[in-house]
Amino acid sequence: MTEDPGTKQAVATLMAQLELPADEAEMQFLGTDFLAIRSSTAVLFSDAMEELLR
Amino acid sequence: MSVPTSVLGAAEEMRAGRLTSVELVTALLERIDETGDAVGAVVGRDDAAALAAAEAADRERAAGTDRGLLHGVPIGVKDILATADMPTTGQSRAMLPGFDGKDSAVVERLREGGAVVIAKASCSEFACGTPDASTGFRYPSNPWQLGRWAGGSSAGSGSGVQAGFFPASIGTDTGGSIRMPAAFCGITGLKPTAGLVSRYGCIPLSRSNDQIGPMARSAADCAALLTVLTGDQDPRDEATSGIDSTEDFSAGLTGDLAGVTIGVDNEAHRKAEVPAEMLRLFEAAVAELEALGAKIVDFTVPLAEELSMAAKVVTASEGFEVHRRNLQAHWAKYGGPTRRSLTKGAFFTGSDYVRSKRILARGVTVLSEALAPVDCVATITLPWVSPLQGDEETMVARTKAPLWMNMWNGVGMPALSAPIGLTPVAGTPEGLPLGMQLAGRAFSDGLLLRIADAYQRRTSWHTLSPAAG
Repeated sequence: MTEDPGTKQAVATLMAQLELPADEAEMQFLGTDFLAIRSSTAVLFSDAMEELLR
Repeated sequence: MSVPTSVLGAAEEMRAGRLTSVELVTALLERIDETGDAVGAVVGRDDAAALAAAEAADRERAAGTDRGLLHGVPIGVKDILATADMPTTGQSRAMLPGFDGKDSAVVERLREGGAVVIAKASCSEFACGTPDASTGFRYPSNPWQLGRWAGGSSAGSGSGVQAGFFPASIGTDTGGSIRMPAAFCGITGLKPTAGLVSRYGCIPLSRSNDQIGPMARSAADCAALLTVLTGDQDPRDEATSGIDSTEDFSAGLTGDLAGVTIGVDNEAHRKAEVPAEMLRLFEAAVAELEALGAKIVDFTVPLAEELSMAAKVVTASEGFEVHRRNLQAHWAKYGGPTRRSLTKGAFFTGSDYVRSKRILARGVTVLSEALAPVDCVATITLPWVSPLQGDEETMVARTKAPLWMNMWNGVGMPALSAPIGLTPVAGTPEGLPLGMQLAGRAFSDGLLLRIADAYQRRTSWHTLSPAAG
């Protein structure tokens, strides 16, 4: 679970905008998910994918 | 009375006049009651409706009408597929509207084929997440060892077939949800080519990646089911547009593999660090395929990591789109793992989604070309066995299927899982089932079934049941 305040704030803001009432514990799990997801998509934008889609 | 465990066995007995549909349905309902459904396979039943359908099937047969191999055969249906005579729950307290009082397209086809819908089979909530007792639904356990997961998301379809509650069931697969429970429970399951089976009346998770298919003991049973589930395109499901199937999948089961080339993705196994005991079972299965006349070649699936990631982005994004309003209104009614899983879809950006769709579209071409020298690609279905209930960390990890599973949903190509042996596992008397995945080009469903059927004519893993059962 992430303790990073910036991530926690970003996820809390997004959850509020989406009107999803996640509690504090869920927010921490979602923060971890958020970090994992944002780093995982890099493979979609690699040089190889640029070449593939050209 | 001996109760057949297979579709074809039941069909043979009924056609020979040694068994009626009413007798079979009655016996199976009694079996479910006697065992107390210890595996939690059944979410809903309407015994009166099932027996009425069985009586009608028997009357028709007596009058000389035979609707085919499913005539009078009891079938389970995953509880995200609408049935007019039984509630559809999605195994959730936060059910989406629009699925009451009507049959899904696959249930319509089953009934037209003379089948009897005997039960609604359990599943992961809305076909995602992991089992969650807080939702009030029973934990879907594995007949090979109670307390182990039957796999997700079509859990009850897998456990119910293995437990002998129904000879076959209809499951759905968005990233492995037919193949995983088939592998964990030691049965056969096919995720068909996208568009081959109408999804009308199925609670959606991902409109791009959802596919519906048969789960049964054998590939021959799956072929009989797929023949009934397919047909003319369905204007109620745009994915079927332009796809009219008249294929009799049972007729294509020749029992031999002469002229068939099977690519084995050893590189995928190496990257996933598949345990040696699993590799031994897999290699033994491949040797059987070779003995049947297949040519075996090494084959590495291109773009596996990228296609898998792209499929994941599409499923997550579309799943969140489906549930967003319902999550806002009924957040607390969703199980914790489900709402967390669905909410993750909000973390992908629009560009992630568009990029993923483009990669998958290009991937269809790349993969189709790469697959030209082979008829299918063989891997282990899953490089792990069914996890124990309560081990939440492992459970969540195990829902993240290997690269070689969800990518086939992303490109809409067919994939099946067939049992190839029992992996030794401490604490289990016999070990736990292991599956082999066969995947191939779009509309090679019949060929995949032919390969699996030939293997099953030579082996008996698909007929195994736990000794205690």
